[in-house]
Amino acid sequence: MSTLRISFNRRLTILTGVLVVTGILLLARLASFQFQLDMASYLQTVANRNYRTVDDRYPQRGRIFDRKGELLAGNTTEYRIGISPVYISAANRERLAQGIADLLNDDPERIYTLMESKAPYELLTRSPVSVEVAQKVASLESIAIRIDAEPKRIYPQNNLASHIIGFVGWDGTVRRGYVGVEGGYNTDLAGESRVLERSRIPFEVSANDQTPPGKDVYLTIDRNIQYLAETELLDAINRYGAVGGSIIISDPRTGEILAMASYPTFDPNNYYQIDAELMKNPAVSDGYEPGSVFKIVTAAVALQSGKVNENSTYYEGSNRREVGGRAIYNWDRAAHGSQSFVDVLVRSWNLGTTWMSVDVLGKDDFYKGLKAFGVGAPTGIDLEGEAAGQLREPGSLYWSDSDLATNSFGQGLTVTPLQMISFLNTIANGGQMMQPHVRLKTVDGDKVSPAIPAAVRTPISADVANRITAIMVKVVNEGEGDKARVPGYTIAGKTGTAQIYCATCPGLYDPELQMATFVGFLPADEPRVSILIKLDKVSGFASETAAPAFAQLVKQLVVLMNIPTDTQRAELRALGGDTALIVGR
Amino acid sequence: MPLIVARTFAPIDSWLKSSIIKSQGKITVSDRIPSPQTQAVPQMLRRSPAQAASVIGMAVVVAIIIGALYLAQATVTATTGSELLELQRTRDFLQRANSDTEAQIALKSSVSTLRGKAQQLGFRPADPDDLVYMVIEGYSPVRTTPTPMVSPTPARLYDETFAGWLEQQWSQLLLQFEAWMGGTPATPRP
Repeated sequence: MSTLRISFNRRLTILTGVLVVTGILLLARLASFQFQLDMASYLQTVANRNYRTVDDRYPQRGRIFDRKGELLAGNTTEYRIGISPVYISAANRERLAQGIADLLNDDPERIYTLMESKAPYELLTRSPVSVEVAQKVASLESIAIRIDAEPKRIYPQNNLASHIIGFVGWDGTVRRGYVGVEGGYNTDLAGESRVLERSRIPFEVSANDQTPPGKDVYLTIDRNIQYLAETELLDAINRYGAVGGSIIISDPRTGEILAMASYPTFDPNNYYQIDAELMKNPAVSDGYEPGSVFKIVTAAVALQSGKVNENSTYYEGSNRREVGGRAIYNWDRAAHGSQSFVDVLVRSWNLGTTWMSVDVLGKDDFYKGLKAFGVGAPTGIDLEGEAAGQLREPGSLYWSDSDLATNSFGQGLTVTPLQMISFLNTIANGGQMMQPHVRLKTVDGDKVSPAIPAAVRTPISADVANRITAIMVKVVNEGEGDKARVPGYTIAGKTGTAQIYCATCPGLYDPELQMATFVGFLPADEPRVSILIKLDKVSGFASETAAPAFAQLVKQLVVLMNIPTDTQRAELRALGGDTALIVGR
Repeated sequence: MPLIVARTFAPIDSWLKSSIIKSQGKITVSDRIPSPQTQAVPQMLRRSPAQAASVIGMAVVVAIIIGALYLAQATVTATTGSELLELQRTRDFLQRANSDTEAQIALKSSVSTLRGKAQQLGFRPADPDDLVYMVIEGYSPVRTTPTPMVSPTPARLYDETFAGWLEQQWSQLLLQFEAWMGGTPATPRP
């Protein structure tokens, strides 16, 4: 019994000793965690590094559609092929290198060399590959192959509406939109990126690892009308020897831009190969001297003043009138005796608008009227890079008395094509200028935010707008714009041939080349569409170039937009129909 | 008080009980402090290994049960996590595939492509005279009072807590009961 007791006591002592030592060690370790904070955070960092990754997650960029839901800018994926050489055995190296080289159409020796690398990762493809190629490479079923998906912006219509849409490029390591809608609505389209911490431990899978995609933007642009505008513009440029040009088609009732074409154009899919100057949208970014199309603004301001009416007349005793030391002539360099207010627009007399600005209005009322139209101020369209145009006013450093005369017929000031069509829309819309815009609606999941048409200015009354419209109809039917006529339709329009500064004779106007513009809307009594055509550096008058181009465009446009002829509209009204509610097939 | 102590130390409790029986209910200080000379110590030493083994055995069984439960739960969680990861990868792939398909469709239906195909098929651009307009009585493309949409009753959502599970079971029980009663099955309360 005593031996048993002694043995028990010895074991108890040993056990107690082991437990005490273990306890002390555990307490010491616990204390080290408790008080040595740096050690704890260090261990946490080491642990996180082993099983956690931190990614910047960028949402899928919102898409851009036309007004009928046709895709103008979308997203696709490209793939980069890489390898982890450490996972490739020497026996497999040659076979795998050959297989990959065949699929990538690459040099097997180059790939073999990369496979011998000691680096943890080697990129095999110099440029991204398509999903088809990536799938074929994946079918090789090697754990050494790494295929990374990379988002890519795609513009399926290629050059179509490229100035409006813009493109997506790189801003450092982040993609962002430039120019047009991509630039103007970049915040909406890009969405919000977020930092996502991901665990490699399957217990810690995050159920919500997605970032919401960017908002989709629907444009007021109709791709069919845009295509028509672009093809007709190119045709007119080729036919009349212009170096460039623009066409804008809009709805004067809402300010919606239906098409905005400019030439030269570019393919946003290959933006990195394009000269930056080409990416600028001339229709909103380039001011130019509009010439005689601006006379509709001068005439509207004059009528609005109440100092003249359609029956007012002036007398051209000489073909030359000097204002502020500058000689003013008519386009035909002739004097025409007594001319009426209507003749000034129908025959496009420079001496007539000079009479309006200098003799009828005076500088105060004239420039007040121009400012009321918004001349010299940007329209506020929702596109990047809009120019304001230039208007020198009395009192400013560079203004002279001659400007009062030249400005009346669209020289000595600059406007953008967009501003010019906005002035036209004001007349077409009964004196109310609507905010020009290209966004129809924004869609964010189930939430739809439509653009609400907004009136921004009312520079003239509805009565004045109707009277100017009547004169513009005469311009097309009887005057200089007769080549813009389209059988069956009553069109209100105005031609404009503006001189441009000479490239080879500084300080002077070019003796041969001019800017030809035609603006018009139809049906004149119930306007549904307004059009501006501008041809750069043509040798003929607008009445011979831009006006016939307008007619050719309108003949196809009325079909696309379901605009009946005057006779058809009368018949529809007789049957009790409402011609304001015509819809397509 | 001695009984409370005895509950804490089970072998001593049994030894005390035997001491109490031996001393016929009278507990003395000398009885409560076991002396090496008494016969109680060998008895305790003889009994305690079996009792200790049973306690340890029970503890091991409990530990095994807890371990097995934890292991089972961890396995289920890991499997679910892996499946979730795989589903996320599949979802990402499908989303990319959708975008690619959408872009491909747009490429193949671009205006220039469609125009070329139409011309191949013998179509030509329409003239204004080709169009026929007609008046449709009562038709207005602008609907000022949109027709209210009849949306189905949304499915009841339950959270993944125990209370949510209980609520779900209760709702299903109610539905079954009402179906059994022959009436229209009740819709779970929103």
